[in-house]
Amino acid sequence: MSKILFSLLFLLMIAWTGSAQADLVLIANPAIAENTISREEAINIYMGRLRRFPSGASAQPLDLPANGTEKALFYRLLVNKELSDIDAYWARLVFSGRASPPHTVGSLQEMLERVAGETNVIGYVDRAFVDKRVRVIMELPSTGAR
Amino acid sequence: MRNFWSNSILIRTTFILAISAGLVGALFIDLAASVIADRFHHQAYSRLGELIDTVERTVSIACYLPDKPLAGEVVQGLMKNREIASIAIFDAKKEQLAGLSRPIEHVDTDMHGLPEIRRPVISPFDPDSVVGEIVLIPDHMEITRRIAQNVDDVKGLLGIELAVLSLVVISMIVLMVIRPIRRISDDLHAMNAPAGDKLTPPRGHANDEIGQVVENVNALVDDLVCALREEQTLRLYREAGEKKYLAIFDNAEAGICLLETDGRITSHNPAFARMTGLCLAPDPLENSPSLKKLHCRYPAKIEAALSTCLQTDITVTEDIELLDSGSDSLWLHLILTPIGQGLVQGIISDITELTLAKQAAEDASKAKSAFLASMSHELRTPLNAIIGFAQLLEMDKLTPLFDEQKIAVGHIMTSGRHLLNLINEILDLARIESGNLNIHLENIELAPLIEEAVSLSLPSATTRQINIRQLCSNEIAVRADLQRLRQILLNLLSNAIKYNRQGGSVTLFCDWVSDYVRITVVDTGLGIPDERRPEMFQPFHRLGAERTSIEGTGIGLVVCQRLIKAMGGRIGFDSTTGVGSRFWIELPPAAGTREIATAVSVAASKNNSTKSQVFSNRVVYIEDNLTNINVMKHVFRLLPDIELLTAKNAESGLEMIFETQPGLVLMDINLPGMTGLEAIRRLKTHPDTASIPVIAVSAAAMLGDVELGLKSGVTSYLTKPFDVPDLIAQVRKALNKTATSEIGLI
Repeated sequence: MSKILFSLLFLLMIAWTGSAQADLVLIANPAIAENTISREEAINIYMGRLRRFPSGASAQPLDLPANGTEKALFYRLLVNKELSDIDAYWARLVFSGRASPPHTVGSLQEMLERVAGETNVIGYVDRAFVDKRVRVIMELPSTGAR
Repeated sequence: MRNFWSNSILIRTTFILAISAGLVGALFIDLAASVIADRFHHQAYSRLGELIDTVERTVSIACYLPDKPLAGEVVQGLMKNREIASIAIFDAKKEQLAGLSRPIEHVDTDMHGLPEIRRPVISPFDPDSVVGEIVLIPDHMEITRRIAQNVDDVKGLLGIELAVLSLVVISMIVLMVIRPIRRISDDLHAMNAPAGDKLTPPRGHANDEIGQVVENVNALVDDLVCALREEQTLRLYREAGEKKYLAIFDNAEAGICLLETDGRITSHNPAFARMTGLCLAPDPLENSPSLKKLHCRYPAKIEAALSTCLQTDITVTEDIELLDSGSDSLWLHLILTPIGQGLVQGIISDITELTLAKQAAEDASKAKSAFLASMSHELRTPLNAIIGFAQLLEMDKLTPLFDEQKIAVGHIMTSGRHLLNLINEILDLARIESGNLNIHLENIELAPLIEEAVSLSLPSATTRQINIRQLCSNEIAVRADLQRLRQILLNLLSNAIKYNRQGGSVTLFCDWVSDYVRITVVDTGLGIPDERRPEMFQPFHRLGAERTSIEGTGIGLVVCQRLIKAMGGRIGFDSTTGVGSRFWIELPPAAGTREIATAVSVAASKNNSTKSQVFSNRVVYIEDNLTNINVMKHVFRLLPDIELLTAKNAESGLEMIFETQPGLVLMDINLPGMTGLEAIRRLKTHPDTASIPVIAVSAAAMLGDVELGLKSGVTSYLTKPFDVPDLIAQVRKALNKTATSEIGLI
């Protein structure tokens, strides 16, 4: 009995770690000029500093709602910040109006649709969701997160 | 001001407090200001740093984006702080994102601005990348103003504190020092110390310094009062002493005066004025009288006495004779005593009566001596005839006497000798009592002297069959007068023989008794009863012997006692009735180094009358008394080989001597005209006659006369009445000597 309970717990743990360790990837329309972008460029785009691709084409970042695990994971992997930090960051910029936070889409599916449909957006999804319609321009392996 | 300053503790304290408070305050404020400024600067910088910290993130974002409005917001926000003079935010490209400066009010005062704060701005996402810079310049004016405000606050507080402290100190001094001291001072003024008043310490100060001061003052007052009382007592004593002295000074019989060193009299008593006639002038400016001005016989004596007194600092006495009171002179005894400070006290007493009495006594004594001398001469001259003729009668071989006549002549001779003895002893006693006794102390060896005395006493001892034993050792010597000691010994021996029993014995011995030499004479006589002891040394007491047949004058022991005393010795005796007596004399021993005079034995040489045959056989006899010449002629009948020439005075005698050149001169001393002494002097000075021996034959038996005679150069001195055998012996001896020396010359 206890053996069964123990093996069950072990399986659950495996499953959780598997989902937590899931790699996020930056995706863009395959029509863009670049195949990859650097982390620096990704940060510039997401944090509002320079919303362009290295080629000069506009790049509007898309964000996921805060209720999922992906958004927090994304910012942790990208700039190593918690969501509260990111919120505070954007709150400071509200008054100047010079920069605005990324547009939030409803779900991963919507994110995937938007990137597949438009060339001037950039988004992030779990690697598992990626399909042929989008191009992975940067990988954010969870092990590589600092 | 000065007076006021030094008179008040309060003012001094206030002044010093003010100065020290000011100095301390200023110093402290100075120090405080620099500390405050330092502190405030430091605080201002840290405050500004913290301020930057609070906006850091926002600035970081502003620089990162870069976002000028956001930077401007931040800058404006920061500028609300008045300590900031200007602020600027630069992005990574050194481009200013935002900047604001406060308008500068007075530039000239801000010569050295405060250093600016530069802070690099780090990227919000990458701690390694710098995205901009924030530069902040603090407002020096504002900071200085705030510092000044703080310092002013501290200054004010310190001032108040110092003022309050000073007030407290001053009031404490007033309450705890000045007031009690004033009270003590008032009490001191009101205090009557001799009546026993005491200071009481102010309330609450009994045990502190003020209380101690009060105690010390009380102790001092006690001491002073004690000293004062002693002083008063001493003054009373001194006054009493002075009164006493003045009473003595004024009423003394003796004259008292005070002298300066030069003899001036500064004060004297009435007796002094009365005696000397000197008087102190009432006006001190006039010359005061001097002791040296006294009109006396030897004024130098006073000066000498005064200078001696001053030099030696001891009391000097002097007798002076004042001449100025009429015919009689006044004798004064002067005592000078140095009493210090260059003053001399002189005391004079009138000794006129004393001096006159002394002179009278001396005159009387001289008269007595002269009387005794002449009496001696007058008594001896007839005795000479009596004894001389009796001896001649006895010795006359041509017409021998009958037995009865012989007995009668014997009585005459015995009585004559007794009388002669008596006269001699009375003379001695008189001489001793008049103080004319001449003692010549010399070192004398006892043994020869005792031998001589014993041999002289032997004849009388032999007649009574008394045995004399002499037990004196040779070494003992004494210090005495030879003649007198001989006299004493002879006297003691003759007494021991006279008062002995027939066939008894006399023992003589010497020994040491403590520091004296004792000569003891022991006899086997009747002894002296104890109750008669006190009479032993009284003149003319013979203890009943006057009723016996024993000859004696009762003076011998008295003379012995006086002589022994004069020589510094003692005489004494002890006796047992029926067994005998022991008489002893004690004399000081001879002084070691002196030459010991040996008593020249002149023991009568009885056997040289016939031996020498060769002599010049002419003798000149100068004598004014016919009886004496007759005696001498009868004596020389016994010497048929000698020619006797006589002269009646010195002048004719001298002529005779020059003409006849005799072998011997017999010279009387008391001659009419030229005296015998003068004649002897002439003989001895003339070369022709100087060698002729001279024998003085005189009744002048006083010691002085004998001495004079011997000094003049006579061979020997015979006193009348002379002993005939002795005379014959001396004549033969002298002639024999002359003859021998003549033979030697040829």
